[in-house]
Amino acid sequence: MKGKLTGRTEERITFNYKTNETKYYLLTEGSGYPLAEFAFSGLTKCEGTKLVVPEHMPKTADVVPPFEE
Amino acid sequence: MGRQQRIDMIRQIAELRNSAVLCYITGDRENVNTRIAPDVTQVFYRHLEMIREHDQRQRNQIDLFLYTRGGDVLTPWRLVHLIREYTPRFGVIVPFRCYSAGTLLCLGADEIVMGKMGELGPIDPSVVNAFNPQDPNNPAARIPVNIEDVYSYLALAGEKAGIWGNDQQVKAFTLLVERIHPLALGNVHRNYLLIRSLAKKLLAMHQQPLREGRSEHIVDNLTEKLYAHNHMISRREAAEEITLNVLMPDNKLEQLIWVLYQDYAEEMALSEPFNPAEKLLGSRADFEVTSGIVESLYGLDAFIFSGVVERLDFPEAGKVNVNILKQGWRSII
Repeated sequence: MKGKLTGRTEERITFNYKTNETKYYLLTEGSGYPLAEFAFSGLTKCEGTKLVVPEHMPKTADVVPPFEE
Repeated sequence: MGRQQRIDMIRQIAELRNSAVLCYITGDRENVNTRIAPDVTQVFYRHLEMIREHDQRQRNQIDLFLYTRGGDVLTPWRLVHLIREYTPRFGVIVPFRCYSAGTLLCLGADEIVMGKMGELGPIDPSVVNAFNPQDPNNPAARIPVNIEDVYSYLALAGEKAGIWGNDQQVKAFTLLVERIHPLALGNVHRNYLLIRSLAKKLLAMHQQPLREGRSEHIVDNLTEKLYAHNHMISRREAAEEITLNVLMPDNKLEQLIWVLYQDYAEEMALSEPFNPAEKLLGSRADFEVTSGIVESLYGLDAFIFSGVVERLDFPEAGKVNVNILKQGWRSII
């Protein structure tokens, strides 16, 4: 809404700077690449070296800005 | 949609391409990803044997329909060799993301079919082993080191900072070694050489040999000249600047490729984070979630995470514990 006397704009503008946060995943020698926060009592030794690595996956789709009424 | 509808689409793509089609999706669903890795080789073998037995089109061409964020860089080399055991001509169909090891796999193809949404990525992997630096935000984690970042630093030290003397170059290198373990750096260098060697060898497998210098141009562009690991390469850039052999499909094929991708994305719920706690009605529930698919007209394999989700009362009331009991490829059909 614009003030009649001052002419100043009082519209609320929302900037969406939300970025994809970093998550930690468990890297094994196989295809599975699950969240490292899970417990893995079933993984066998034959799955080789297991390392926890940070992963930042930029999303090029399905990122919908929040809608505020 | 389900498998029956996908079979119809795969069959239509195969008819339009006069090829046998094999689909490989590594899921990028939040919390339960899959990646290109050696354990998929046996799954490919099962499908390729079925294709050999039932599908005459493999004698003409095999097309791999591929969606992936990447993975192990050695596996594409093995997969391309395996596929080429069954066909004289190999193509990759790229509906959407096909990054890193996926792009490497494309280099071994005679033709890359890219729809308007098709994306390739640089082949500048980040490497990680037990000697990589600890993540300051999570001491249990190791920070991957990007190969091109290391070489970019050394280039910066040599070219931009005016460090030309041997002593100062040694100093720049010593500074690097103080922050990154020598064995992690050794791993970086090994992979620097490996990725270039693999890319060139994959390009040399084409039915039509590339003219002199083109292979080097492609490899240089996909490694050090893109300057950003998350650079998304469109089909126009892939064809005109990188000079890859890209085919732009007609509208009918384009639509089929996109609808087939969307069906996989929907079936694997790629756009929704996996949260097993949502399934928890009591205090404990079993779950299974599919995070990777290999599919052809003759069979279906899925990479499945199986586990248990429990709500705990101790030590912290209401805490949800997710335990993965099993993960691996399973033949469904």
